[in-house]
Amino acid sequence: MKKALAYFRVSLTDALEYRGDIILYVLSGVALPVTSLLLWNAVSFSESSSPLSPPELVRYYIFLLFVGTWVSSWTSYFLSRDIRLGKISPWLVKPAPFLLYQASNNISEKMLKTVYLTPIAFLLSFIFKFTWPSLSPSKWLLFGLTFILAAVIFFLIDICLGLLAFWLDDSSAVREFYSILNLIFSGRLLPLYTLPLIIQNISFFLPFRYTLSLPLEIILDKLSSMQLIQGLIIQIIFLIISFCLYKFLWSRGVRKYSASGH
Amino acid sequence: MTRLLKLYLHFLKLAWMRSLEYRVNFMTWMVVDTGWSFLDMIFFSALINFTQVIGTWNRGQALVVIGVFRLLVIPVWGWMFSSFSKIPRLISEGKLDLLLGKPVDNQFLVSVQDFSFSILPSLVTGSVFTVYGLYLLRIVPSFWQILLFLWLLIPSTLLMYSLYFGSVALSLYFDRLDNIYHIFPTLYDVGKYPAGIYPVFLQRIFTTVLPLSLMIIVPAESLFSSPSITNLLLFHSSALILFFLSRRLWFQGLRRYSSASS
Repeated sequence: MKKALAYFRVSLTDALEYRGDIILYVLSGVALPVTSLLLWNAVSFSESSSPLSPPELVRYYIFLLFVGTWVSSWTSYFLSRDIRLGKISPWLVKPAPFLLYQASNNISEKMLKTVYLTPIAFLLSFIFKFTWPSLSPSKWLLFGLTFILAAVIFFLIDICLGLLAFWLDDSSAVREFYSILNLIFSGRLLPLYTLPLIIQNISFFLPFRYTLSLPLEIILDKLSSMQLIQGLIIQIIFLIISFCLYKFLWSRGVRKYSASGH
Repeated sequence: MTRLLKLYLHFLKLAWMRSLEYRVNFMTWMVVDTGWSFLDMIFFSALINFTQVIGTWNRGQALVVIGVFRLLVIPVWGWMFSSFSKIPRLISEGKLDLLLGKPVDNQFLVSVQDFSFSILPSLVTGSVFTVYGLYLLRIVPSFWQILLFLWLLIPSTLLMYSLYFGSVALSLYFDRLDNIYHIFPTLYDVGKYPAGIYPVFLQRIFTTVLPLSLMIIVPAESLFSSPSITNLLLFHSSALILFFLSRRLWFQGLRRYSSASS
């Protein structure tokens, strides 16, 4: 715990030093949901039969701002770069797990991004006339739980993508391909309810839905109790799979790894 | 001018050689680029499923705009992103003087550092989308319309270059803005939607001060409607004015730059 807090303080200090970068990330992250919401507004004003009502769409995208921020990870880029340049050698001899530092760094930056995001979200809520979802306490609890699990699953998968650098000279194309699939099947680009049925059905078997769409579907109150339990169980399964995959890739990768001059 | 052109062709040759150094990675990135095209198509299809019009565009017009968007992705992501992504780091690490010391216009040098050839599938997908959109509109553009369209791609590219380069030049005015080069590609996406979906004050901004809505729409609309002379003159003037402004911003910023004894 002490090590995690120490890493957290260091990462937060680092992030606070160059606040401009964080603000730019927040603004970039806001652009897509806001543009999508404006588009859906325009669609709903024409003759349309959207599966989500305008208030539901606003709720979806406003919550997406926060859920999307917390369910994000940039570790794979830096991890693959460090593996390629031989810079993970110090981590192999440190008394704290490598994952602990990455998680602390991830959480500290997200906390800072949330601070910058909150006034933007308030402004957008006012402009788009956001209405708070009326959910039961148990559904709010479930939302919180699926939200945390979504963030952890996404983070672990991102780490796994970064670890591919042990075997690939350049894994950027693989990460980019993952981003495209994530945009389609996670509901980040469009709510899954608006996509063709075949895409919705495929999404049930892929981890992407459980890294973003599931918590948002709970917010929309579109899931039955059985679907909620099903979703939670599948999320736990993906969490176990992604953690085991991380352990496997890390142990095999470190055996293969070599660096000079460290 | 001829000297600069020869130099650019030389840089392109080097970029091509770099691309082919890791062939599997190059092919994978071409697949990724095709994936982005399909993502645009999925987004468009999902929206058009629920309405006959998006803003003021019907299905065919929206498809033509997406096609032109994909064609213009080539200079934005293939040329500008590849070159401009290096600039903030060169500035923050004080290594820009390696380029400043050369006997060539330094704006030209920083602008042509790299080119990503894996973006070329967008030439195919963009053309297919455009032609299919025109087919849905039952329009066959005349020879002069096609000529005008091809000509308008030039000021459109100049406009995008000016806005993108201007945003990256801001790195000279701040301590560290390593992620500034991500801002324009995010804003570039704004250009593929009808200006009518945005609030009135944003419409005014996107068609005058920051003509993001004009970059793609003006060349696209030339294929299915007759643009007014006034609008064409305004379009060309804004491209030239913004080019000179961005150049001025760059050279003013260079006065603040100090190297790190490289």
